[in-house]
Amino acid sequence: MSEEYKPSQDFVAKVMVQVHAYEESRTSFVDWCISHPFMRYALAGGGTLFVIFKSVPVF
Amino acid sequence: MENTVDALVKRTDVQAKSKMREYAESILWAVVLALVIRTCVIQSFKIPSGSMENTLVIGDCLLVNKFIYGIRVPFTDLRLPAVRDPKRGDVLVFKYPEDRSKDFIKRLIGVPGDEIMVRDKRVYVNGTIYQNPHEVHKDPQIQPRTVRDNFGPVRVPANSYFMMGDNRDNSYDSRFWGFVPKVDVVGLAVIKYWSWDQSRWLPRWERIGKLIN
Repeated sequence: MSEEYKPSQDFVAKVMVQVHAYEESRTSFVDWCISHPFMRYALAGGGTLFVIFKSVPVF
Repeated sequence: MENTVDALVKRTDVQAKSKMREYAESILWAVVLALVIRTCVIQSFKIPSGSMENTLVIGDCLLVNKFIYGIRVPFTDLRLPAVRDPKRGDVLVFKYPEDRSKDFIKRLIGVPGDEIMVRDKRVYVNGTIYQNPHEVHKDPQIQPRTVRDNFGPVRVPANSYFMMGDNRDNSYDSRFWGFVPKVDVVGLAVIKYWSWDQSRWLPRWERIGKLIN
């Protein structure tokens, strides 16, 4: 094989890094929602309010 | 090469675990915060009976201030210092003395030391007629031999309260089951934040946000 076309020693590693970066960049909407801090705060806050406003009957 | 791939996989795992941990921490904080607020600050109740009509009607949801009479230490009869003591006319939520798993809501009529008497539906406190502007009488008949319309006189013992529903003729209250111990007071009803009319399947907008007094 010509030296010109011989892959470097870390060729696969470099490609894998790029593949990983690409996969990271195309997260789904659900993943984006889950990973976004706002969603976490909204869920926690909503849950807190739900528990506080869960009414008990009083006669 | 394999090391790099392993490192990438490991990094993804660590990110997922960190995300899980963030969610777990958020849920934990939410639960703790909600329980603390519910136990010590405010609690929501809904009205399933008409004993407090027209102040509170079936379908009303209200918030109760739980710290004004002193926060109750859970699983004990101890209370932290109160902002003020309950006074005549306050609408209180308390544990029903005959079944403490149930909560009742009534208006405070007698504080410790008061003498309470009902004669022909009129309430006398310490010998003077006490007429609350919110009380209603839906039955024009006077039943002479029932505690509903003729009761007492009784003196309210120390650390106890005498409670009556605003719907005087249709209320199961202290006239029937006696006094409420101070330790059983849950809090002061403050505001109606929601009201649902089941028969019309509509909210009662005019009641929402109204203070309870």
